[in-house]
Amino acid sequence: MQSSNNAAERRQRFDQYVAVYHQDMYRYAAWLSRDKAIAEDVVQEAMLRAWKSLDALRDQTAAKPWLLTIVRRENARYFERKRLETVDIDNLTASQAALLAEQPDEELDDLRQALYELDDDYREPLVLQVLMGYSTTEIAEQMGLKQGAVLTRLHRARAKLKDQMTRQ
Amino acid sequence: MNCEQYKAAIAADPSYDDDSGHLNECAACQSYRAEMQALNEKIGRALALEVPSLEVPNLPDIDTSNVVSLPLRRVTPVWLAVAATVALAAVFGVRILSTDIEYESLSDQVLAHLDGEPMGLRVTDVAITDERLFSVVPADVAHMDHGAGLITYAQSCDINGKPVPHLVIQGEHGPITILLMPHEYVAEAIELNGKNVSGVILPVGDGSIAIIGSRKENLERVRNSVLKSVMWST
Repeated sequence: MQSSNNAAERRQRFDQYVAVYHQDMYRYAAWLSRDKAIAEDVVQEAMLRAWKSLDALRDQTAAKPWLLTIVRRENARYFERKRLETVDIDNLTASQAALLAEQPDEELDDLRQALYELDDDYREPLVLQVLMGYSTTEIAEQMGLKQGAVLTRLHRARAKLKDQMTRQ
Repeated sequence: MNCEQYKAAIAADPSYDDDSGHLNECAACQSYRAEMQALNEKIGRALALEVPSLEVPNLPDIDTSNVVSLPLRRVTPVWLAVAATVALAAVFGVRILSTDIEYESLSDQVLAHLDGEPMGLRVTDVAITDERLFSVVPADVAHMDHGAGLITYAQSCDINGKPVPHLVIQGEHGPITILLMPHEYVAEAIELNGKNVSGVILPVGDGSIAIIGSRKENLERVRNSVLKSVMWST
């Protein structure tokens, strides 16, 4: 009886987390992989892994960074398995191109293209800061960097985007 | 601090708060700051990709016989929803909807509700009393502490015929509205987009919480602090 209660509570907890954080998980995966189809695969794998290791999460307020860390690792595993080549911006697959063709807004389209072309090292901290609301300390922790390195990357990322947008 | 240092700091974090006084004296840096904040707002919109509906994979059975239940706090991470409010609507001309319109969705109702609570839009540094907070957020609905921020407005409102605590905290870019909706179930987070406000309705157990603020506001940070400060009682 206790066991079935635990199982039900566990499932309820899991459903709650993924319902709240699914959007964050997907967007993070999409900008890490730059491919919507891969992002969906990564999120599915991440959910499975989260389900299996849910009991390791003792502090529910840490659910978001915990899930995003799983997404990050799953993304790395995915690319390790597939050993994918670097994306050629002029030769995108349909699901890569789909990421760039979201809203019919010329200014946003240009910016999204610029974000797409940013080096991973610059794009990821920007996604964590702007989209996920992470502080630079939290980004440093997530990416295994010193805070100074995070600040430099964020600064350069915005400078590159600003340059790009000014040129267009 | 000189211009170069300030620009590096603001480019790394557009919410950077200069306490050296340099910004007040430098028009060039004020302009650069405005430029960076505008760019950041666009980056946020560009990054916010459309998300496919949630599909949970088939989950294997887990042996929970040796698992110790989490303490009470497990219930539901409570989310604070913030809705940045009427003031914003009034100031920025967000849509004003007449009260006799039948709204199709919860998100429409939430956005429309904000337009009807102008007192919630005030920018103030005067916090409500604990008595007021507890009367609007009764103990049998939820527990809320002041961790989410300075709570300056609390009113019991009505969404879909059910009582909803409507709270406002002061954000960096104006009031942020939070609607605690214990009876409004949503399967997954729903984004809210007004002309100059944005927000989210977050699923929380059998209910949800809406958080709405200025587009410039870092609602993620607000959301996290709300999560830590609110707990459903049921």
